[in-house]
Amino acid sequence: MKKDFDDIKTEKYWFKGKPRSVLQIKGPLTKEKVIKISELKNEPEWMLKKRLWGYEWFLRLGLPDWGPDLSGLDINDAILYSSPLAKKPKTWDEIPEDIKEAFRKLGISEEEAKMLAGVGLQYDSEVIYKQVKKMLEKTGVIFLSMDEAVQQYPEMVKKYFGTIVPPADNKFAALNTAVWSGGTFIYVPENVKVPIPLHTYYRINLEGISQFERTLIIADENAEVTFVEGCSAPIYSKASLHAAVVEVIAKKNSTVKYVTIQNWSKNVYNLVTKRAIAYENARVSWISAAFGSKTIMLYPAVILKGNNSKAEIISVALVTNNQHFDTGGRAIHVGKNTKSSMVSKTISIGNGKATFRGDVRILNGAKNSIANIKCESLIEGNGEASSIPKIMVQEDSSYFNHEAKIERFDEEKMFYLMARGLDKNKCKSLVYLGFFEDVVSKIPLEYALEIKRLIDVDIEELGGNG
Amino acid sequence: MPLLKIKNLSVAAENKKIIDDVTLNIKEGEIVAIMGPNGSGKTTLARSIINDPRLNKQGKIYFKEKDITNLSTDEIARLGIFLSFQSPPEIESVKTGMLLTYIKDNFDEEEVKKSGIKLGLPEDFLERGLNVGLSGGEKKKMEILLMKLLDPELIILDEIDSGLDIDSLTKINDIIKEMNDKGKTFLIITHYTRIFQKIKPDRVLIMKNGKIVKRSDSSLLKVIDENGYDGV
Repeated sequence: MKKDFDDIKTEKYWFKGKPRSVLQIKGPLTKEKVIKISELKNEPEWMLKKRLWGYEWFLRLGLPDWGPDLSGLDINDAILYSSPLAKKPKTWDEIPEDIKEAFRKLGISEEEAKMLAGVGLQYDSEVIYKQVKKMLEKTGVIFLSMDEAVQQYPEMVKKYFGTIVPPADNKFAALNTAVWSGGTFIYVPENVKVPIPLHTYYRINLEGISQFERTLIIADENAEVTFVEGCSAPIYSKASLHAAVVEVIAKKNSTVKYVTIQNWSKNVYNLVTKRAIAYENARVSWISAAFGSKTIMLYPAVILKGNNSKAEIISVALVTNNQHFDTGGRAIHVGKNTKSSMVSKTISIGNGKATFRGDVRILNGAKNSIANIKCESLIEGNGEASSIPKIMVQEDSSYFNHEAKIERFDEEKMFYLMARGLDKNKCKSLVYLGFFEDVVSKIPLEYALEIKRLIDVDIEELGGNG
Repeated sequence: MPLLKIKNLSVAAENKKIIDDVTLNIKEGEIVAIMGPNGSGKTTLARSIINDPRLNKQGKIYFKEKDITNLSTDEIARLGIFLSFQSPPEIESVKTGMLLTYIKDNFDEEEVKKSGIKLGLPEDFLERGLNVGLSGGEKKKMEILLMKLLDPELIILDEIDSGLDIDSLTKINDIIKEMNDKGKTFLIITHYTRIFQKIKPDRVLIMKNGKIVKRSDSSLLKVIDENGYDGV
């Protein structure tokens, strides 16, 4: 596998595309601006109501009084909405050359798009391209931007939007509800199994912009789908905010796998709320690989409502200088025989700081439920890692286990590996990949390769100082 | 021309002088033993040859007439110098099998597995984290396995005999002899003479307080055995 890394250059991820903005709405957030966004999108009344519901909670809620330092974030100064294009392209050919070039650099070309079951591209606030394979359309699979879904499938959006993550959940979920733009809507009908992943790529390309995409996935009974999102942004001097909300509804016997490969530039505040509800015998997996962002607050959750439902929350992260990843997972066991498994693997380098919060609640009646949390950290230099489990068990017949382990990669180990003929970067690549191996092996191959590339980009950036 | 040439080498670690003006030449195909009591500077000498970045060096080291004093450890290793560590670290995230694919381009995994098991490593050693759960002696066997695989020209064995039972010691003796017969050069660092069963060092040097205080041939081994280091 090591051969794959040789031709990778950092530039691939951090290039700055030509800034494009035909229409902007800047903070501070007011009711008028919320209405303006809704008007721009020509939304039905009910969606505006949901937005205003979000706005109310945005005013009411404060910033979290726990977790990482958010003092560098100025919501009032952010660009809340920016449309990169006056008219949305209908075909790949209609996408402006500079945007096509940006996605091409990120490894997404027309040919690649064809390989996927469906692909979406979001540039700043708007999804500029969305395509789904004809054969999937025939089966009734819906894969649209959220904006399009509001227009084309209003009943479904109206029914589910904000039910799993209500705006009262936290200030950023409220903000997202008020000003959301773009994001992905997926509906997989009964008994349909989508054989290859649906993919949306999110790109921030404008200095000072905040991205508030909104995603809703509904897997009907006995359906199966894997969704992959990739995120990237160039480094601008001004910090950006990415505050997405993702809601997943996994009906009886369905399987939803949600994979995130997050590589925002290292000055993005990534404050995202992701939550799923799993009905009887459904399986939900949140799998994430995080490299970018300055600060992350992200705790994907699964409400195990139905009997025999299963949740898997898996994350790998590489935290380097000046990054603080405050992540974790939450499993709420409601049904009988429900199972949850959280695995977190974090590498902290330099003064990188990783906090893992594993939150498990086994409610009264969730008989014979099983919950496992495993948190493993690899520390190099002054890196920091902590694991904070929070457990509430109301059911005697349930089982819970928490495991935390820290490995230190020190100078002597580096010296040893170098004495076997490996240069510093190869040593790091070997150690980091080795550490992540068991998790990365669960991710579809092409994305696993992308993760390996991102590890090497980080190593390359750290140079001899890591 | 000597294979390795150490010229007026002084080494300090954390501001403490450990090696004091050592000059030493090793010829190709030689077996040189460096012996001496604890804390005499033997390990530091070995580590400074492959340029442990934590050491402060003065003087020069040449390998095949190339100045390697300030080359990085991995460059030196790739030139063909192998140091078997006195205490090889345990690296959990690096599976032994994965390490091998990084350090050797083409190798026969089955062959390596057999050879490891023959040396006395546990059956699953390729799937384990490097050295994880291995005894002190097994870690030394792992070093020997890596040495054989890398097939270097100059091999520095730092207390390879510690932690090894007598049967394993014999096996390793055979390997050293076999490699030496093929022209490989050995610098063997040890406190004890028991490593020299089937192999006889061409030269025996004694280090004390960071200096080479005596240079002799293998007849010195007997004197050390009988009288200890104070007696030589």
